[in-house]
Amino acid sequence: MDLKKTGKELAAIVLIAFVPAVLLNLGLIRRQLRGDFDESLLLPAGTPGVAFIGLAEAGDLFQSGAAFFVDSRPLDEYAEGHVPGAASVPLKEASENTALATPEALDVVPNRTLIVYCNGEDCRTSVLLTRILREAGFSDIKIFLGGWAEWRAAGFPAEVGSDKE
Amino acid sequence: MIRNRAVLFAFSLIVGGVFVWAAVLKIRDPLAFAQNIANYRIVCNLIAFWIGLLLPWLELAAGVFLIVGLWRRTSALLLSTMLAGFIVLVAVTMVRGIDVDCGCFGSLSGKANLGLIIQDAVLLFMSLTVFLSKADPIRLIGKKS
Repeated sequence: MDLKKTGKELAAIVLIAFVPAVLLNLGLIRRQLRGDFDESLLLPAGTPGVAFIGLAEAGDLFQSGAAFFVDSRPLDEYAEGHVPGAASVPLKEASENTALATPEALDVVPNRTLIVYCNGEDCRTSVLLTRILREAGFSDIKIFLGGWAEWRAAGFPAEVGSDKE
Repeated sequence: MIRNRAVLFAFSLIVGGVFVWAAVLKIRDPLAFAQNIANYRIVCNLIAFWIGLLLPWLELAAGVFLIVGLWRRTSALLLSTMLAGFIVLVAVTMVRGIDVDCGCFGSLSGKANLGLIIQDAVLLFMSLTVFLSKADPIRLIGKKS
């Protein structure tokens, strides 16, 4: 193996890849340098209408009925157990068909408070689904980062099954 | 060692095709891919951002070069290194007990689990075969080496 030749070819491939990567993402790079993504890559600080909440607040909003829960996990996981009354909007399906995440599809008014959750802190489908929900017209969205794992561990009410099955 | 030119070309096409497809899905939304990387909890947001921005383009370039046959062995070496890295990353993530989407195919990604390791191992076998083989597979462009 000719190391010199391989090194040159490697450098060429890297250069060919990185030049368009940088040129086509100058806007994102500027935002990175400004510190927009220090806290979160998907929801820059100051994004209006989106907040991260903990178990206590999610529980309070559930008790008071002041929020509508949205489950971003796959349907089979939703069917195994979910927050009572939560709508199943799996991220994969919503990504392919954003009509599934509209106020009409969920039968919820756009200014209703939504709480989006997935499995727990290690999943980010709730965060990704939030972007689709915002584009669909929802203005007040909270992300429950502890998700289903924290909800279940706390012994909060659960519902099993799905109408969609 | 496999020397059949058609088989080597098929391997190049499969590995290159998978990487090109995965790259295109990720290039469409670099921030989502960067978040996938951050979810592994190995690097900070800053490094995840730059990997999310640059890695898909590197996958695309190496994948295209492997398919067309230009700088084939170097491309195969680069993709093999990436695949070995992915396998180690997923294995470490499983050992740490972190349940995370792999991020390999943008929003179409599955979980980082044993199935993914096997899938990557098969691709690594194909890629290494192309890299190590003395035979020259059918190439679409470029001179015979």
